[in-house]
Amino acid sequence: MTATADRPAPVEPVASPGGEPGSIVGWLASTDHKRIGLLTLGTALVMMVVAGGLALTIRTQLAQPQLHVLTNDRYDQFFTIHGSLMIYMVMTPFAIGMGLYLVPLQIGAPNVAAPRTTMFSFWLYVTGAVVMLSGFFTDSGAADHGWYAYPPLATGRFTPGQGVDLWIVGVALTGLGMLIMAGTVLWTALLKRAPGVTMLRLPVFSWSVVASNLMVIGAFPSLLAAVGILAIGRVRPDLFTHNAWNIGYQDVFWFFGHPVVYVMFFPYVGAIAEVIATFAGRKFFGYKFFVVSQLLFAALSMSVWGHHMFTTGQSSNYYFSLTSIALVIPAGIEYFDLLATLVGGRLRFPTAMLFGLAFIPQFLIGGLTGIMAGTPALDYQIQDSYFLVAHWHYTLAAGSLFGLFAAVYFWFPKATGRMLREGLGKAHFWLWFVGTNLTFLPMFWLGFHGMPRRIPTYLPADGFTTENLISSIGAALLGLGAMVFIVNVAESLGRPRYAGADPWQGHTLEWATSSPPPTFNFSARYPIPPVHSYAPLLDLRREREQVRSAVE
Amino acid sequence: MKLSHGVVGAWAASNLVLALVHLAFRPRPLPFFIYIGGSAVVAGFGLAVLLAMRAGHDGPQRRQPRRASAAVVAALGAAMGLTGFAYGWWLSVLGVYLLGVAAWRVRGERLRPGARPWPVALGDAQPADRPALVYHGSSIGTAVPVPADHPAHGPPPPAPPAPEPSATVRRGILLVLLVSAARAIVNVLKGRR
Amino acid sequence: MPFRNVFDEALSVWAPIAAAVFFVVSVVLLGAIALNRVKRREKLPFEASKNTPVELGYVVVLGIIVGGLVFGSFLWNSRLHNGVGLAQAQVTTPAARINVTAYRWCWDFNYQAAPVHVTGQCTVGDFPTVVVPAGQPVEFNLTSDDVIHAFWLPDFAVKRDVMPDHVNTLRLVFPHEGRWRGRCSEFCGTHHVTMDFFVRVVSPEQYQQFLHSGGTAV
Ligand code: HEM
Ligand SMILES: [Cu+2]
Ligand SMILES: [Cu+2]
Repeated sequence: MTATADRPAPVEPVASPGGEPGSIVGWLASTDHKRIGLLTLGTALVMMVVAGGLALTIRTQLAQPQLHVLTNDRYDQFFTIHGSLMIYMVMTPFAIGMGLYLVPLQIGAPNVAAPRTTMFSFWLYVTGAVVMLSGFFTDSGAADHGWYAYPPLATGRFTPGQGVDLWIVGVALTGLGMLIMAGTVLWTALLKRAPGVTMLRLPVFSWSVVASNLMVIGAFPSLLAAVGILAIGRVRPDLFTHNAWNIGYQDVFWFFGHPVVYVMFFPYVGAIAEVIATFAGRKFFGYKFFVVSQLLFAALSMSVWGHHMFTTGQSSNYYFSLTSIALVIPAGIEYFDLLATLVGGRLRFPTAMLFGLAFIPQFLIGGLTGIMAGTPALDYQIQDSYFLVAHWHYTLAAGSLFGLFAAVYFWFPKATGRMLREGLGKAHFWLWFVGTNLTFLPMFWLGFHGMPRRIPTYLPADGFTTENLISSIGAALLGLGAMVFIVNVAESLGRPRYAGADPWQGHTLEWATSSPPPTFNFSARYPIPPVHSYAPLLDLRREREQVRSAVE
Repeated sequence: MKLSHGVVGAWAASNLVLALVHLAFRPRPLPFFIYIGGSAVVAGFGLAVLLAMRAGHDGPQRRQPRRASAAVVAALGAAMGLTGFAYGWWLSVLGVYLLGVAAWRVRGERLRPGARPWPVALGDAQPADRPALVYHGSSIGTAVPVPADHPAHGPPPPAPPAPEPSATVRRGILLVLLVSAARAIVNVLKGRR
Repeated sequence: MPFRNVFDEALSVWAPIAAAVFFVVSVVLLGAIALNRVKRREKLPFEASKNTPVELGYVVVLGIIVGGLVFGSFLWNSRLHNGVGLAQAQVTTPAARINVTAYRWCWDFNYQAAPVHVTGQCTVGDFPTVVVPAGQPVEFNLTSDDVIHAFWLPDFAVKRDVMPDHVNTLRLVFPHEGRWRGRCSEFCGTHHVTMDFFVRVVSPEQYQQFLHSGGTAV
């Protein structure tokens, strides 16, 4: 061991603390943001498989009229836990976990700020998920009041049993965990950047995490308050015989509940922006507009929560319609910049890019129908119908989830050092592209024709049969695609094809270090290159090309 | 460019504006004050960023903790404590014990201040074909110092901030402004109800 | 104005806009891909990474569109009186006023003008049928005995939440005689799915007859 002359030699023992590097303890009590990040992302993917399984069961039951795969109560538990898992345990943790893994790399920081606190938040998340799922093993079954648990339905009077208690505890733990994790990541992005990485040189993805985590800071305390109110109501159900508390709960909940759907959106758009810029071989177009519009988007989306309450007759419908429709402006700018980056690029089409491209029209459907839901006169019909189910699945499943997979295919080589198989990846993509639209497009018609959401079955005379059958067939394709993905991951880990440091000719700092990166992200062998813009590696590549052509 | 706290502050301020626009639509008090509260939480975060920056806590962090076992135990304790809500409060009491263990474990997880005031890299932190071997957690014990001229060192630590004599005065003015703004809002609300 | 008309009008404005936006984005997207296929290797990617005037102009266009949409949204919502339907003034005296009480898992309808009471079990063959006069304003006063339900008439594009300790008003005119299905659309527990009712719209004379007979003969 060598030390530079003017510094004392390290005094720490040589043995690596916290157990062997590759050991269980080395992972589970790690202070490396990459490990905590991977744990979070992995847990979220496992939860996605569980939630997806629940969804497939639901779709089986709905494939034909009057099927009874599940009893009514089981069905209610399944859609509640499907929705709760997808929101609290899959898309949100994955979004924040991506930030945790990537932001320190993108800003040239050795680690996340407060790594132990971050690990604390990961464990809150995991225990929260376990506690929520453990509801299935109680006598009364898991919670069955829907993912937003409106009182008085969710009080002890109408939904007795421990399932709901466990749901409340699970959501509180995860909510707290996500709040803390978002806080440390945001702190890192704001304060721990490497020299040269100014705020206006942050990569687009990191900016999306900044905007997203700002929303978490502002909104998640409200979730904790909401489940707190609910917990009080479990003990004293009389609380919710008063309208003030019922409608008040809805406000407190949705003050969290709307921003969180954007938390489940921003980092995925950010990822797609990186993917598209990389595979178009050019700098992301309109960086400053994109950044400002994300911040504006985030701010606006704190102000739209009342659009979930248009039909209560107790909300400011005009105000919330105004703010909801105003979201068109920042969203329009983002779309412009994404498309402008594509046009005139020299495109490559690996799987990540395919998912990124499909995101654009699919999320657009979700967005356009969202403006319909933000127009009260239309919402009075489509609220709580299958139209709405279709709408948010287009934003979350056809949109964010495609962003999630784009991110996975894009950064998997960085995180593991191995490439995912392109052939299997493309099979996955096409299955999902077809499956997603088959599953969710018919639901728009179902909603228009009067199918309410959250119903365990329907009658032949209702005339919902054809659409539901198509939808269930689509869901089967989704299941198949998910299986292909799992095989792909297993195959790529089991029979590795190693990725270099920069398999895609990336633009941002994480591609300057090894795959996977060393403990403190950058080392003597992989130093941080000079940063002059939000695409430092692209700059370097350009410079090299210029030098080469000057020599010739 | 030191935009960091500016971003947070501007963002909180734009939320405040949106919250005030709500007033024109005669909201019930609760939604209005929720939004004000949310903006205040973000503003508080921004203030913390500002203070941290003043105190020179920006730039890459060099001193790193080496393990997080206390955090794990603490999280399990917290989970147990809350799960008592479903299964009875005796469980919460057990959770408190775990928190005690966590408090005891937390000692020595972090290097002493000054023990290693420069960035370190692991001796074999190289790309390898077997990724599992590359990871060494945050086990700083096996580390070697990075050469002095390496960019990972960053610039020298910033000088301590100059004392600002007028800070108390300014805070006082801010407080007065905030209080009067709050009263104005309350008055407006009362007038409308 | 009836909810259905407003809904149809809003949809007929909004659907073409949405379709056009979707069309433009798809064309640009597919065009970029096609163009790239044609030119493949010959060209380097564009260098430009920003164009402030174009983007600013685009923001202005977006602003105008948003202005239009918000105007429409406000207009339609005000025609529906913020979800109530008709304004108080439009409800003249002989209007039917019906107190609706939702409970797990069925509906009670009580007519204010006469001691008429309609209810049911919400099982097959026993769904409550509320009888209302055609062409006259009808007022429903919605409240719940237990949890939150919602009063949804899909064919009329109208929905209103039914909350405990709170009365939501809904004023409608049913233009034609006929029979329509209503559903609970806010999840309320195990039998949420069967919490249906029917609205039977009859001529005003038949309606009077219905009231006088104490709710039996129609
Ligand atoms: C990918 C395959 C998916 C399928 C087949 C699927 C299917 C379904 C179905 C059938 C329902 C029940 C609707 C009802 O009965 O009202 C549902 C509800 C829901 N889904 Fe999904 N879903 C999928 C993915 C997602 C994703 C990615 C999210 C993202 C967060 C999500 C969030 C929700 C939520 C929040 C609910 C509402 C639960 C509730 O009513 O409380 N789903 N989904
Ligand atoms: Cu929303
Ligand atoms: Cu119901």
